Amino acid sequence: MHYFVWLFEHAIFAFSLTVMASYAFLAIYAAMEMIYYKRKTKYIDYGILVASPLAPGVSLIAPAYNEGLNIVDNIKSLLSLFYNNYEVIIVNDGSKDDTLAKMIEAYDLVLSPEVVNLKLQTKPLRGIYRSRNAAFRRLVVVDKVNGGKADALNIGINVSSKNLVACIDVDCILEQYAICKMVKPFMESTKPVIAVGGVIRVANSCEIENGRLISTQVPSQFFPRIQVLEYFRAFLMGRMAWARMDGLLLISGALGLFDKHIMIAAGGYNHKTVGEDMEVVVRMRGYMLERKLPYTVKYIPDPLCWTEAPEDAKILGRQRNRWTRGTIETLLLHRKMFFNPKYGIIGMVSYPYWFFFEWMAPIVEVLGMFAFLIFAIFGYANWPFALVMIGLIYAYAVMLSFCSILYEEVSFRQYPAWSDLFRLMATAFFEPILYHPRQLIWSIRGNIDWSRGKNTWGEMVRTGLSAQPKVPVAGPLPNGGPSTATAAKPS
Amino acid sequence: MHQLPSLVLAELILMPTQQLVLTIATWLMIISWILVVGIGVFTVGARVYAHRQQRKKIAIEAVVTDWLMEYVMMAEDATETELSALLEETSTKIKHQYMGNSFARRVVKAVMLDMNRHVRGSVANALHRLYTSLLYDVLALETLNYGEWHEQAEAVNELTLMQVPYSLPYIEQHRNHRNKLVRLQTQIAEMKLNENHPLGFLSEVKTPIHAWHQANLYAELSKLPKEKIPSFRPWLQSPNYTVVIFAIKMVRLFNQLDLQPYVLMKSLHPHLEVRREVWQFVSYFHIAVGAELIEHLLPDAEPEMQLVMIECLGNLQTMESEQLLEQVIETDQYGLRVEAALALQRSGYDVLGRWPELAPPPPPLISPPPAH
Repeated sequence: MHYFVWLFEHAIFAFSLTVMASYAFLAIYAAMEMIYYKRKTKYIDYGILVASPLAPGVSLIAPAYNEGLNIVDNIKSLLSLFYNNYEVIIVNDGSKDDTLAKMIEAYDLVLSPEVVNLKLQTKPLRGIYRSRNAAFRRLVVVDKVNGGKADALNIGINVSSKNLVACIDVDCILEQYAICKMVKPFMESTKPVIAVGGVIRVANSCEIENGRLISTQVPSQFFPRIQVLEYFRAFLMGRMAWARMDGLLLISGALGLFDKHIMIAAGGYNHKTVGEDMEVVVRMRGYMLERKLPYTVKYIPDPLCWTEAPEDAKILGRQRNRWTRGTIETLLLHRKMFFNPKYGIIGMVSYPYWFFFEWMAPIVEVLGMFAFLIFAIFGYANWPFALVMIGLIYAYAVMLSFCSILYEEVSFRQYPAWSDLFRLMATAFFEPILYHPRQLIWSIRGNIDWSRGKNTWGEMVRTGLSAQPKVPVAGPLPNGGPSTATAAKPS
Repeated sequence: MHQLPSLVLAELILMPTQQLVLTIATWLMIISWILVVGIGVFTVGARVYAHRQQRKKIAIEAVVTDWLMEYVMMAEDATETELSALLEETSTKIKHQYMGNSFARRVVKAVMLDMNRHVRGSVANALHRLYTSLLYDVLALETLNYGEWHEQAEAVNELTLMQVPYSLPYIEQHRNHRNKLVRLQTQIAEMKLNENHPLGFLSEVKTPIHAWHQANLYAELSKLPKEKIPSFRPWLQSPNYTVVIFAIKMVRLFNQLDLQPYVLMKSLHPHLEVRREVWQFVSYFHIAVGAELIEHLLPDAEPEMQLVMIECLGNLQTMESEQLLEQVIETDQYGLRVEAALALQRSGYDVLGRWPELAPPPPPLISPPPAH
């Protein structure tokens, strides 16, 4: 038994050390990338792209499912971005409410019989609507049979007339120069860029007027505030570092810009997984690597997109459950990449990282706790070791959160109030105790649900960013669930 | 008895490593807590420092803006002697109060650069003289030679904005710099500072001029008076294919229609991106002869190029191009047929009326018509 306890302790220590070392590496690498990015963009005038005839065309594709409450304002916000060469494609994914009727009325839409190149297979199209009002010439509304977010995005890609497609959540608030900033990597890279990801920020408690962000503040509710920290760590540390290594596997479904032709060639979004945003990036990368085509995936750390984060534990739990299932499905779908040198850094670093530290880490953590409990019951527990390990992991978690707060502070400083800074710092101390255990439970539930073959999104309830009454936006659907909401997945 | 060696082994190996692990973990925990405190203090300190700098900056900006406003307003109608005296007075004031401190120096420069964006003519000249009298140009040239890439880019940008013509030979050396941003700033500088040959650098440039770069160069070019825009013919022959692409774009955007035959010759260029640009040119000017060219080139073109040509035919909107598109629709290649139909559709042709089979398949259930 002594040998077993010894082995267990050393295995736990080695695993923790590996996880901590990888996080430390990512934090340092992210800092280097952030410095490079800030230097690189110091003299950039994005204004030159706004009306430039040389700006590439972009189709913003936003699926909408039961969005009747806010759809008119959301579209207004999307139509007023600072960019000339773009169109907005709203895909009404078989909404059961008055989403379509409201759009028709507000934007003077009429049915437009058109040829559509069905390059990606989707659920049937009911009709394409365009406005009679020239002011809304950029707007295209596609009405289709419900098929889930991936299916809606695929039909949007089929309908789009531009070479770059931005897949977004319809309720997200985009920064006015968001398209300019995201288009730039496509225009300046020496290697062909296949995708660009943007940072998602939590908009809860922020002041929003007419679909524009007026002022920012740290959410007053506990769970959204925790998510602010999570997003800092994910977007300012994790993804920055992965982008520098060109090993980014995930671009949030809430905001991503893609090369349409590569996206189509790779097969578009997979509607059989609930993690379609990660899956599509992995597949596009796989497509390029298998053909030995030069490519890169870029990432913009500027706060370009603000979204509403779940406010209560139940909804957040469903979201995290879905993310866990999405991660597992994606990793299994592309298991051929696992430690496969043919896939370069993706196969040798990114995929194994996701496998061990995103999928396996919660399982190892829970198993470790159970094993320790058993040792304790039978009197074999090494209490000094256990206490030191708990202390170490806690301190390290707080340190990483502090590090991400520092990155935010010296780079973008989106929360200018002193109270916000101190609240975030205080949250960093509470998060490992009050939030992490729940996160573990959600993750384990996700694993169990995945093993049972669950493939639904689960009901998501949104409060609305302008403090509207609570509205359920979707029920558990057989076809992959709602087309909108909650796709800002941090890793 | 036989258990004894294993117990000894356990005591000898397991216990020390357990102790070692415990020691490492304890030290890591202590280091993590030190880092938590350190990062926390640094974060708060960074904010306090930023606030303090901001306050200082605002104070300096207020004073310097007043001085500069007074200086440029008086300089507008001043004689050369008056201007020299004024320059001496303002420059002494600034040197005395702000040039000793690097932060204040940067703020003063930023105010000057910002003001420079809003002034023209004699006022701008007076501001440029003040800039040189404060020796900012010397500092910028020094940075240009010894600084890091981002500092070099900043220096070039500054020298360009402040119109320091003698800096051109120093700037030109960075034309093919390894860093994209320095290259871009250098080329913009050459365009702005070299009045006789604003685009002369295009003949010398060996590195690619990517799309972002092109958009920036175009933004600067479009600010030049029309008579200063040169003919882009020489660069249509450039060995650098990105220069050819840029030249074709500029021929299109500056309406140099006389260069049409030279551009059309590029439809046989080995590089696909150049050919794509040619068809955009043909589309833009609705060059009727383009349809004939496409008729010859379409069958042997790469699939990607075929789509570009079909789109071009759609934009031409001539009898010939429509006929050609109709022919494509009658073929059995689904992808090309649909693209041709889309091209015709864009020009207002009733495609679904003539080829109803191209309509998307209907949904299985008839949905109720939406309420208007």
